[in-house]
Amino acid sequence: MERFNPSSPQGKLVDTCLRAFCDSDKLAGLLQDESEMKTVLRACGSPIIKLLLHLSNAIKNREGDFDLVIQRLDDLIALATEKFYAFPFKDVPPCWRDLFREASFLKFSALAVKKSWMQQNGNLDLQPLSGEQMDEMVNTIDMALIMAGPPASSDSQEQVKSVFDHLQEIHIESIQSPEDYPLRKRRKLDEENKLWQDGFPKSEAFEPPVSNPISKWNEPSFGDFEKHMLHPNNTNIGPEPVIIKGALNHWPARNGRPWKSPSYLLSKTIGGRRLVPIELGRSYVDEGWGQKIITFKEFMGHYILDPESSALATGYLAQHDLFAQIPSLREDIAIPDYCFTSPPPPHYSSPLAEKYSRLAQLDEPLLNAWFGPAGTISPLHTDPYHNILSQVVGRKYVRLYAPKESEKLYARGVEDGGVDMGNTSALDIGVLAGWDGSEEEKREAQERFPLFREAEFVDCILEEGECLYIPVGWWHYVRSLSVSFSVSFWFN
Amino acid sequence: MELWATGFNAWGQLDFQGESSLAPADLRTFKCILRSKHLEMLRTSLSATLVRTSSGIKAAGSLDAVFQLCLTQKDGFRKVAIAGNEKFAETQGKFIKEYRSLKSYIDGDGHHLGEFECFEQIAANQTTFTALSKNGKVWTWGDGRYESCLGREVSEETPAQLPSIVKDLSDLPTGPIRKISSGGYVTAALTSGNDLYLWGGCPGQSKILDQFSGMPEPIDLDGQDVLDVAVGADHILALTTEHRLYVVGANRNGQLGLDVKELSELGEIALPLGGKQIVSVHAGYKNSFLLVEDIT
Repeated sequence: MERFNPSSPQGKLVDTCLRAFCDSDKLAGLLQDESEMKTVLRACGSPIIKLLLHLSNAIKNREGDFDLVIQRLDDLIALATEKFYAFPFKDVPPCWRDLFREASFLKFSALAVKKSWMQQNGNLDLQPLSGEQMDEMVNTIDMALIMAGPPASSDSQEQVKSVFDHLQEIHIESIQSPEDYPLRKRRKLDEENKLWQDGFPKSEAFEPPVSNPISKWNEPSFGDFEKHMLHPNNTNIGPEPVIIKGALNHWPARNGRPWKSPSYLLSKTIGGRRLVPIELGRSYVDEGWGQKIITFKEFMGHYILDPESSALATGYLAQHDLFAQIPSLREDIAIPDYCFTSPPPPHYSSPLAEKYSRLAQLDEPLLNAWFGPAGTISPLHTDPYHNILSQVVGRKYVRLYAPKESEKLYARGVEDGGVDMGNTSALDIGVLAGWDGSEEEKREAQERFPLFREAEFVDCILEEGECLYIPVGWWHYVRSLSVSFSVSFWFN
Repeated sequence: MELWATGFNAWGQLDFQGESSLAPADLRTFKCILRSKHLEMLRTSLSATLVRTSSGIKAAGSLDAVFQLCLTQKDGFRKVAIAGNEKFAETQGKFIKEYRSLKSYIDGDGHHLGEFECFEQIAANQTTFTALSKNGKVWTWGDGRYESCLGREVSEETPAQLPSIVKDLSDLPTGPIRKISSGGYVTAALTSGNDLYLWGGCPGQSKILDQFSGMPEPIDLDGQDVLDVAVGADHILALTTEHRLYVVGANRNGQLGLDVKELSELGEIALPLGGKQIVSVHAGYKNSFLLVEDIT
């Protein structure tokens, strides 16, 4: 039997769990001292705190029935989830989010010490984590972060980050010291992880013709780009979109840490175990559009590498702050300097100009990941910030309309259920242009939206390694032509 | 009389002997948990059970703040219902008063919803209140996001958040409503002629019964008359006038008392009652209670 030293990744992981996640002293304090420690968790009531304390002690000492401890933690997670539904989102009492996290962190800790607990012979040596244990642990903690949000205190955030780092290290060790793995699997792992030479499938997606190409600019200077925004050629339109070439060449994501390699992306997500929110359906305005949370491995396997294997809907990892979730991926990219210029406010011709200019100044750009197969569509919409859309992997068709065209683009309003869709157009560009749907549907759409015909646009195919500057308030329609991984940088 | 129970027992709320260890397991089958000459279920919560016995009120489990309050009330807080969204509603004769939380209830900081009819019973599920009048009329109000739970039309005249009559339960073939029960996202009503009606459902969650819609639907138990009904967080109990017990819904915590994962249709469960019979059913959060009596 192997003894783990306390400085091994697993030793550190268990230490964090038992020291920080099983904080029995904090829980006991909540029961005793009414005046001290303003912890929101107390609002769950003393029966729940008592149960948490009991479970925390059981895990610390690896005492009692492991399965019953897990069941009670699942019961508490279910209770918190029920509360999420019982209140409107903004009114959920914070104690129930805390309970969801607290119970999840305890469950994570119980899973981390499961093997030595189950042995029941007083042996507290750590046993190596199995793949299934890792699956369940990552699932438990990621679900807590997605459902309940990150913990409030920076200490807790650090602890969460450190357990993910330890799990990532454990994963990397497991694929680099493959004695435990059968030979065949080992060879496969070696191929995948040492070389990262694999790639995404080529696709035969329809490629719309480019009618009014956007000009391209090779690595403009900071000053030149700022001038482009502040002193537009046509003051009736404001700053115009432009493609910037060469700005991503130095990104690790396009070099030694290649995002175009599925195995690289899997390795960065603890073997594809991290959970990601996926949009299902062709476009977010379609009937039957939905969202679900799945592992990165499932997303990659079903929706990216083999999208035609089944009748699955198109899956799109869209507008997700993947880099807050997986900070090490953030190190593979860099915020383009252009985002630190001082851009003009939204152009006066935008009907949303006033609304957008009320937004506070961002301290730093907002990053979002957009990762999906060929054929994903972002319907015609505007965003409240200037955007540097950076194409890391694959190609996308983008069509843009200036804010002054807004009245020809039929913005939606507040829809059933009170969702404001004023930034989204009712137009389906694919149908109106005849790329999607039948002739009949095209004719109907043209009759329904007669002004569309007169709306002027520019368009482009954004190639791998290029950036597209999208000025705030410009309408854009985006369609992937291959497996595509883009990063948007919003700034104001 | 005997009290039988099964299901969720994290706080020992099914253990009136106080014998459980610190970490009681759930009961997976119905067992007799308490005997007394007279027994009456007063209230259940997430963590506790309150009953009246011949020798006074008895509690099992871990008492939260609400239960502490109940113990100070003679009637076990009968005229107050507490929803999953932590709102309180109280009937006072013809009036209904609503409170945002336990704290505002204790502070007396509620608001009157209006004058209606003389009320007999009040119940709550996660987001909806249901009150039954002495005339057998059913009134519902609550969170408009879960319209199915209201069992009635929502309009400008009859908004979700104000009590309004469930029209579909008026003028039923077997008479006015005599009992209501509510839990999770479901509400049940029994007519004086012993017909059972159910309505509710939560978008995005599987339905306990396929028949569920946003309006009360009659539930057929092979043509049998229904004596009693109880709705829990995600399960339902029904007792026929022949004292046969039927259960449906989730069974993760053993709340159905059967060796199944769940039941999607009402299934009968026979218990070794030793010559006694079930006279009423009660549902807690994820557990079930039966009052059992000698056949007279």
